[in-house]
Amino acid sequence: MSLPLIEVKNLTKVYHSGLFKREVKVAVHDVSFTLHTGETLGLIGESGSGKTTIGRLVLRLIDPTSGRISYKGRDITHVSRKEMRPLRRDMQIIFQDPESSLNPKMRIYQIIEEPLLLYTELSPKERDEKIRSMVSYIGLTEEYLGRYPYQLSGGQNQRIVLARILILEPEFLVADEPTASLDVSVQAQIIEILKRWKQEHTLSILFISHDEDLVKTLCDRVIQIHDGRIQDLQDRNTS
Amino acid sequence: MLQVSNLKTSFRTPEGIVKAVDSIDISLRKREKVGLIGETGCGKTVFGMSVVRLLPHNTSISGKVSYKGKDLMTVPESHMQNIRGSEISFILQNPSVSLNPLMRVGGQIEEAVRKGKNLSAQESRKETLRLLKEVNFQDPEYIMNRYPHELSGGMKQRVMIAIGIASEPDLIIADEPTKALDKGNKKEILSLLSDTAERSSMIMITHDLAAASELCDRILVMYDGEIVEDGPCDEILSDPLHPYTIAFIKAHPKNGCKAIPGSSPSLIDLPSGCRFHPRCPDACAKCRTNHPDLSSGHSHHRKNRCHCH
Repeated sequence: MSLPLIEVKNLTKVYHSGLFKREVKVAVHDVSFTLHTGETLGLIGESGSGKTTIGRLVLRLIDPTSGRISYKGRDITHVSRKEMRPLRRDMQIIFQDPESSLNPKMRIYQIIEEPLLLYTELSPKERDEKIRSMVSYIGLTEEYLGRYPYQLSGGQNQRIVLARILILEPEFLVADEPTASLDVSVQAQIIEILKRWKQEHTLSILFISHDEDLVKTLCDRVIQIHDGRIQDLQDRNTS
Repeated sequence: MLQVSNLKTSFRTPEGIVKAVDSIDISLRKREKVGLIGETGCGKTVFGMSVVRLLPHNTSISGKVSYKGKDLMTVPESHMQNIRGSEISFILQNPSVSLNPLMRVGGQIEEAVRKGKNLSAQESRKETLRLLKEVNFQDPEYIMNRYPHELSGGMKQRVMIAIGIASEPDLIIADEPTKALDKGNKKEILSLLSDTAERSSMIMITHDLAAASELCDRILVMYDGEIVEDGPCDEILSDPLHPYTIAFIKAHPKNGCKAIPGSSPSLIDLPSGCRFHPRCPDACAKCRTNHPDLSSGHSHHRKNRCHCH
């Protein structure tokens, strides 16, 4: 295979806390992995094992203590925030709790439109078309566009979050327990959207979850994290 | 022990009347553990809240809830306060919101311990320590002096259980006790619940089939405010009758993670006929017009609300 999309080498994150920063907590310890284009990599572990920290490190939302992260062969470990900005379009993240990722004062239409305003130069008409087709893609009707997040259920809100991400057609997505606060039938809807999208587009996903069964249905490979270290890397043949 | 008949709970809202719970009949024997299963918004929690009458002012409840011969719907509020917590305890979902953030954990458990009993400070402290030990805390004295934000999700849930079992209630209503916990924690909470609640009856409200199957003798499947299937736990899981139950089991990641098409209808504007028919793969003409009853088909210990199965 050609160049990996994401390559992480010896990534470590240490937090200092307490009086004179004497308490040391190693959240991520010497983690290395690669993610190829179009691949879905599962990251499983208990709560507090450092899964989320890894996800955020890879996206440079927090700075690593040591180690190297490269995106399409380019070292992004020490790239400045300003230089990161154009890359953000292709690297997205979806969080566990949809309610706190959506602006409560914006209507659904504005929420999905915002990334288009920030990253594209489409005309209002083109934006409108894109938004409407995206909403039907995630299985909601256009009447939802005029509503606010509080008027939608958790599963519907999570689908809106997904719409806001997918409308930019990113190349890499960190999914940080996107279905942990949802129930099984709603979870299945989210997973189905992701699976369908992956069939039609090239998208690599780092899927963080504590649910082994869920990871098995979606991922090509699985990494097990324990206490900030990689415990087990297993290949899985996709069926 | 608990007999709920024809319970209807609805809320008056500006958009219309929300029929959250519609004609539910449940009877619960002593020490029986029942799982109430269904997706978000089907009225599971409202049902639990209706039993203990913990609902806002715009609610109207009708029907009968008799608990040990007393009708809980007519009992005065002052008396109800004594029943809540001491005879029926409610373990709320989302422990991070349910615990008082400004009180140490020990104080919150002590509150429950002291309720209805005349204990000295020393005795209630001792009892609190015992409860914390019972919910598997190695160092109860340390935990007692922590604030909720200093504990993890699983630990907070264990504190909630300690509060729930403090007065040795006869009936425990546990609302999604394993929500958002990881596998290890989930297992621990479930075994804890089954150990500590051995002497009590329990209604476990959940959407987690695996959790329910571990703990419960019987399962009630709820869809849109009504019970659609009722039967012994293992039979429902191995041989579900109602199309909704079948679809719900298939939605579990272990069984293929298949989504149920469509979304659950609004509780204000319910579909005619069978409530599941817009999403049902085998809906027929009868399903569209006639509302099926919960009837026992070939075996008398199972009930199903479907024309076709």
